[in-house]
Amino acid sequence: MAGVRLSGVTKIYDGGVIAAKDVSIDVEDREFVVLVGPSGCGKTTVLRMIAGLEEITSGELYIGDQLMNDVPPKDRDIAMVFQNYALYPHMSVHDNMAFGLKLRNYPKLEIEERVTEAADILGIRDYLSRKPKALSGGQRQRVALGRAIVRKPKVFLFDEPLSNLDAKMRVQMRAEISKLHKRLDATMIYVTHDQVEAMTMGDRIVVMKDGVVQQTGNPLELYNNPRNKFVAGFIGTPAMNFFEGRVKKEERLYFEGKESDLKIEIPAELEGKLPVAEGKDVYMGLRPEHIQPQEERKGNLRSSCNLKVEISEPMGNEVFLYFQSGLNPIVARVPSAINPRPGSELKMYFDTAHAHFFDKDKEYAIA
Amino acid sequence: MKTTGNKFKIQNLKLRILNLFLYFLLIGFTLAVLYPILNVFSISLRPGDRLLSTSLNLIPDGASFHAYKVLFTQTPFLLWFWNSSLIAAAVTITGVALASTAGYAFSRFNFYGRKSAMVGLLVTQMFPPTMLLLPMYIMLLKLHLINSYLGVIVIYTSTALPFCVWQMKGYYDTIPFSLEEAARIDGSTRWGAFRKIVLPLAAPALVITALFSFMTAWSEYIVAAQVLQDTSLFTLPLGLKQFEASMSTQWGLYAAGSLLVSVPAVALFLILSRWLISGLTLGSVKG
Ligand SMILES: Nc1ncnc2c1ncn2[C@@H]1O[C@H](COP(=O)(O)OP(=O)(O)O)[C@@H](O)[C@H]1O
Ligand SMILES: [Mg+2]
Repeated sequence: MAGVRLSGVTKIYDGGVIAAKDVSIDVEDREFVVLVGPSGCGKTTVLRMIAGLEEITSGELYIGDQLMNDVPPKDRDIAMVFQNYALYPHMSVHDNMAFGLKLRNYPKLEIEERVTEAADILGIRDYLSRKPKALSGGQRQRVALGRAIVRKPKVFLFDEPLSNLDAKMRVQMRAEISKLHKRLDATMIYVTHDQVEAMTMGDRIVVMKDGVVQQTGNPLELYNNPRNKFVAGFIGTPAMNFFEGRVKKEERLYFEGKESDLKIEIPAELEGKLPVAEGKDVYMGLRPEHIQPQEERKGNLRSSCNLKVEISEPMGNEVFLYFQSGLNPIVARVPSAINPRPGSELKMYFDTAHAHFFDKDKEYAIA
Repeated sequence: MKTTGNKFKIQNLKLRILNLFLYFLLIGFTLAVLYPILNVFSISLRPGDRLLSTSLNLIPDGASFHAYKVLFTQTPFLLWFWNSSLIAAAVTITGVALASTAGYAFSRFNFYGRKSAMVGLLVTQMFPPTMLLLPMYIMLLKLHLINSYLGVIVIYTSTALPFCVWQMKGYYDTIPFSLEEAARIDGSTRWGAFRKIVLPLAAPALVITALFSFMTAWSEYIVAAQVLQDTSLFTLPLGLKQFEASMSTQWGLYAAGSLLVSVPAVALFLILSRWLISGLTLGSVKG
């Protein structure tokens, strides 16, 4: 077992595309780290550099204590599950899994043992003699996982392994991979564009955008203390609401919306953290659960606004309400007992104790 | 309900008529292909005095395998057969070895001059072979390869190669690169991934390359006639032509020889066609 350390890793492709810029990630031994970010942000590139499939333009990669920059993939003792599975189509499921072991000259008996064990863990024992084309998407995914786990490598790499599965299968496999991590007790690096996957699976999450690491932390840290507007908006569904405006001071600090006629008091407990923001253009960010109707009013809520419900999306245990305030879309997440008709007006309270403030130009978090 | 039933019946009928028509067409073509072959077979069986007979009987009066016997016992047919086999085998093996690796390089690596080289290969295909005869002859002369197997092998291979390389490249392009990457992570070298993953999946393209190379060498006449001058080096086409060259053409021998020449080609095709299957890469990627 081993950790993985990237130190100032940069990747520039032949065409001049900078796919990863000064990426530093420290994955500890046995940790499950999720790389998350929108499509094209360089996640796959980082993973492929760890695997040795892509050259590192500059920076250093360590697996365990060994510098791996120039070590070929086969000598890195890693396994990778590809987004498109990449099963060997001319080999049976059994041979797909045994391929790597045969190449490493394992004795026949041990190969059989390991393949059977992996097949049992993944519930694919009945398909061992089938070719990949005779399997469903979910079964192929399991074979791809099986091929990775039989080798018992130091590090597992996953590149969006669930993105080709249907929603139900995805949730199921998500749980299975998490279980697998506990069972194998191995280091895993998992790439996804789906922040729900990231939040539910990761011990730690690395958020990327445009080839740059935005923030690293455990799921709750990212949720509660996003370091910039991008992370704040990317983590959480529905996404955080942003209001452009300015922090002003009369007898108290308050936030005045630019495109909406919002005027919201900033509670005393936040006031101390916001001295730099006074008079500045900022974004105020508020999560959907912190915008509540009167009935749910609790604590120190002193800012309200009458809003017209445009759409309501009942989710069963809760309802998402979509409003429009001036040019500003707003979404709130309220208990399902409250189910207003679209078009009706509702007095909504803004729980500004949980508000986040971001610099208008640089988008970093203030306070 | 009833009208849809009728509709279905009418459609069914149309389909049957179409099928019937297709079968007639196919049978017609088959006959057109088979007739000359049967005719040659018939000629090879005719006794010496009835070679120019216009009788349409498939089995002529007084039919015998005399011509075949003479072919094997009184002519160097077996030697020519051996020469042709040797040359065709050499061309096939070289062609497959070179085309499979060159095609891979063109498909997977991005090297300087890749595009121009691909176009260059195409350009060579635009000249008729007879036009290249003289320069090829001069080249072989300078290389002292006139009147040698190696001379024809070099020319045949270089004639067949451009098509084969393009063909292999095109096929490799359809094999997902991630399969090789998976193999490399599993423990293969680049070469190992090529041999264990890519080549087995490219079987249909390899078969086409092999057949094309073989046929280029097996039935070629013009180049062989220029390069091979020694009767003992003659290939089958050159040898058969000899039966014609004497005062009177020996049609019986000629016919028997022609039939025997086509046997290996047909056999090879039948054997290799087992690998000419589509969808080998099905199921490897996506869901
Ligand atoms: N082989 C390549 N050559 C040139 N550019 C590439 C190559 N692979 C990816 N890119 C570019 O690098 C950027 C990051 O790609 P990728 O790592 O695949 O992103 P992600 O996996 O996060 O969607 C993208 O802009 C993409 O177009
Ligand atoms: Mg990707």
